Amino acid sequence: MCGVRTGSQLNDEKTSEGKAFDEFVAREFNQIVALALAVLRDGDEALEVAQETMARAFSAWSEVGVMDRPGGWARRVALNLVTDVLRRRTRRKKLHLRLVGEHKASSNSSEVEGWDTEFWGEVAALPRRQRDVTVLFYVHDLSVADIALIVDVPEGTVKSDLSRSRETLRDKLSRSER
Amino acid sequence: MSDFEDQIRASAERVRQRGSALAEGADPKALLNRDGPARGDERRSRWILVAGSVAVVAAGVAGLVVVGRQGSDGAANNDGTPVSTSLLVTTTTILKRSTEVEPVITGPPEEAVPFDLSRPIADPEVCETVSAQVFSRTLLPPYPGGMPLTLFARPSSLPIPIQIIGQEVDGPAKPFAVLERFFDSDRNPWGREDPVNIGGNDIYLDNHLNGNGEAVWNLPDGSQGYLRSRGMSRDELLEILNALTPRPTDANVPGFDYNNSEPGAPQLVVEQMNTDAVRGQGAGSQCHVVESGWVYQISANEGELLHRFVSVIDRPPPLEVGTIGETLVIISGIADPSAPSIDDIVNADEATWRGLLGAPGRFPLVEPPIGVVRDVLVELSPAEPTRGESSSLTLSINEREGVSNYEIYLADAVIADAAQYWKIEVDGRMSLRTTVGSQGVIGGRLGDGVLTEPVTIRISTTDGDDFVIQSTGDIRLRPGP
Repeated sequence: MCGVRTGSQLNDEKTSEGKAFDEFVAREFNQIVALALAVLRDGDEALEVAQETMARAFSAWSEVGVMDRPGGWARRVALNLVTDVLRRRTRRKKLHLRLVGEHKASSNSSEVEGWDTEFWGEVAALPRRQRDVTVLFYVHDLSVADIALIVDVPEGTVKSDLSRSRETLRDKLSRSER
Repeated sequence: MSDFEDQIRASAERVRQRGSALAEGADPKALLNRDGPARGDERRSRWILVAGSVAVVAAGVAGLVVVGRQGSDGAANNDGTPVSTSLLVTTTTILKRSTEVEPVITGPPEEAVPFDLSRPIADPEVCETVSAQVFSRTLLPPYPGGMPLTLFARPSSLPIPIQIIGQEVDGPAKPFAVLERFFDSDRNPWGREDPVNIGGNDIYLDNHLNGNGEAVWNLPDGSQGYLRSRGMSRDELLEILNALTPRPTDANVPGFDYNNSEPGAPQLVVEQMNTDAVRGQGAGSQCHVVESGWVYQISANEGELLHRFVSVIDRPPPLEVGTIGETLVIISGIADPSAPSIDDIVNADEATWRGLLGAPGRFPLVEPPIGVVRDVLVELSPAEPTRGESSSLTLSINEREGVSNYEIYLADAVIADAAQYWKIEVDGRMSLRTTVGSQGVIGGRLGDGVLTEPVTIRISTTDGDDFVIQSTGDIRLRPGP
């Protein structure tokens, strides 16, 4: 297929493009894993999301490599992939419910423990934009302005989403503690 | 900082540490060595469908009609071979009352076949091409996630027979009529003029100024006939309407029999249910005429006859329609002596085309004047580059009966997989939200009277969580002089 190289070709050639991509991977991979892990709480799935994000960046590197903020692009891709995983989980749960007739907790091996499990579980259950904004704010420690660029909404919307998500999370967690 | 805020930040730090530990033992490039095409190529080929054995089953209750169609209903295309329905090896369609029609797939889609004019651009000396895209305007029921073909923004919970009455040779490029019959319509027939009575039925017939015709009438059995035409006079439409006889509801295609043996009269050239497969592919480009400043949309469509007919009619009236080889070419834009014509359309070389596919396009987004330009092409871009391609929409503003309205023609829009809703905002406020299943045209109200102040419209697709998937950005329109 014209224009499509394999990763090893790119790496072997060690072109300047390849080096730039390597630097991008070194800079972003850990961050994306953490981002996905926060919402998914499953190490394997988080790694898959991060690897898929890198693969997509690679296949679109001619566009991504020249962006001002390729990291922002990667986070957006990762958050979309995280949403796909959550939807798959929901479908699996429904199927399981239909086949087995009872609802069981996900068999995913949780990579986070204790209060963290509960907290990030509630984050995952937030409306999508609130969830994305919350994860980017806390896990990636990004500014409201940076988040606004990634999520493509005005800064005011990011602020109100953050405020709402904090309120929801505080409410839910305090109720569960009672 | 509150205790709760501290707790969150500490938890986030633990997640970051755990993420780093996980990442250390992993290969970030594990998926880079997979073979095969880039994602964009995969996506482009997905809509190009060649059905194998297909079974379409409409879900629901209380059913009737078509069982065991073999797809040889007699229509013929230009070279005399059976068209459209003959391409389905086995189709079983059960009409049932339901809000959903769920396709069941048997047999994999085949590979895309290259077509004659797959990289259509205008002669650069006539019109400078600024961007291009590959698209399909038709949703294909047998494809997973595909939906019944819904024309003219007239959805139905029951399958709809679609029939085309036109010319057998170069039909889509000549005047023709699309005939539908609805079995669940609750729309009252309505027209600007008094109805004409044909065969005991009151038929509301309108010939619009733009050359499109429209007729709607109720039938004694509770069903409703609907006709849309392009380029036909009122007399020609009356001739067609006089030649129609409703078929029994258990007919394979429960539309109308058409009897018109006049020499040169249009014929029934294709018919099928809207739940059957429609195969087609298309490519398009936008070009810019420097001297006039107008932008033109050129699209080339190949595929089944129904696909080609529908490409022409379910959109604003094109500037010109013609055929090049087996490919239907449509040019849309402002009538002007400098506009490109069918004779100016050529196939771009591959390198040029690849460059155009990634180009952002050049649309007249800067305050197109309402009243001077009625229809403007606007670009619908993915919010994320790997999720869909840029495509175009036509935004039309009109004043009718003292109200200003907008209409958005979706014919050329490529809707991203993740998109679930159209969201239209006018001056920052929600104006319309509807499912992406809506096709043809969607629209809403801008205000009373003729607009005197500029207005900003933003057209987006979103997922179920109101997350923007594709958007035109803000389109600012100003009142014309």
